[in-house]
Amino acid sequence: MMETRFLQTLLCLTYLLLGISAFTPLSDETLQNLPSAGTDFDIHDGAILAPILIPRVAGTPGSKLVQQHFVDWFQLHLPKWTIEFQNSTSKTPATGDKQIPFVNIIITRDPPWTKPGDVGRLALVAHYDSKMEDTHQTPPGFIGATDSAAPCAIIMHAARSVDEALTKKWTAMEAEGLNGLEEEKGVQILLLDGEEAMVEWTDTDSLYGARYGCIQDRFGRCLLTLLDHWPSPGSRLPMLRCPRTTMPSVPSPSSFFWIFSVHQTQTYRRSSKPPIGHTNISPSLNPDYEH
Amino acid sequence: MDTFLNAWGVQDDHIPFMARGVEVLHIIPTPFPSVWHTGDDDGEHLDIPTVHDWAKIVTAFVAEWMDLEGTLPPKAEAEAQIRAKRSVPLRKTEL
Repeated sequence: MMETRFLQTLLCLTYLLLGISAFTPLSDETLQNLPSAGTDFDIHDGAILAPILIPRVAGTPGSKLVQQHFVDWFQLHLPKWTIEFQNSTSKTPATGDKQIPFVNIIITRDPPWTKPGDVGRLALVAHYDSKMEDTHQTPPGFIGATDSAAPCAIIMHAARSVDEALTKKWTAMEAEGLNGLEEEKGVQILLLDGEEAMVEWTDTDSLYGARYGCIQDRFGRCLLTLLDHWPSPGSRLPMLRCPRTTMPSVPSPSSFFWIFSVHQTQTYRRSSKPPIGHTNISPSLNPDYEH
Repeated sequence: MDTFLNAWGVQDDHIPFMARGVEVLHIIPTPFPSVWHTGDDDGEHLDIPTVHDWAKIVTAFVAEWMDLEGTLPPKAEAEAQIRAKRSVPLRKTEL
């Protein structure tokens, strides 16, 4: 009996020291109350999805139009989120010596009392570039609706759907008085450029934006939720992949809730790393754009 | 297809992050959709009800991860806010 109590105390202390806190699962009522995107996902005139459904190969005018759509939409709907551009350039096998611009768009909302570098973030990630035409299967005018226009739209709707609740939660936390022990976590959306190969997939002809993002960014501990290639006919249950460290065994790769439960006791550690270094922090200061 | 598979699964944007120790939940169908990289991967070939389902699943995932139980607005209120914003004309900003 004594031993059990001792063990319990030890466990509690360990959890406290590690900063592990429990999540409250969403109730059935809350799940049923989640708002629908409604007509915003209309493919012809939906405010979120339709503007993304154009060819948007990195470095082309279509890419700039879609970037503009993201900026306009987030500024209108989610003014509390910061929008940053992470610019890089690279030569590609399709474009010879020309430097092609790749523009990652990073949209962030952190608790108002936190400083960058002192906050863990849940990152929601999709690439917004579409594949360039090629000689075997991709025609000119390729759209890439599943790859990955729809995932970008899904992330935008998710961000909008939790925005007010984040305000409410953080305002309440501040009103109750912060004691420095709060789990400080924000949400970050990464809309990455240059995922697609320009000619043929190799280590250097692919993932242009993500590779640059990794050089620049130090994410500390965060979970990256990456959506790609869906939803499309015949792919109702996508495969979920997790890093080896959080996947000691895989009872059911298609169960979301198993993934949830794995992460319910994950620790967020405050990162002592420096804030993310971006080349530009204001949409209006982006030098890659002709005004 | 083999060129897209390696020890870490499907090659995608998560690879450079995972290599740096970031925990990743990668959501992708395998095999890839039949429309993959073809002219049929367009709006007309999206399964829109599934897009809506996934939007809710991802919203729920974010809400639970951010511990938002008890702070999310009632559905009617949330959807009214969406409709109200939809009627505001988009401000065009210059990049």
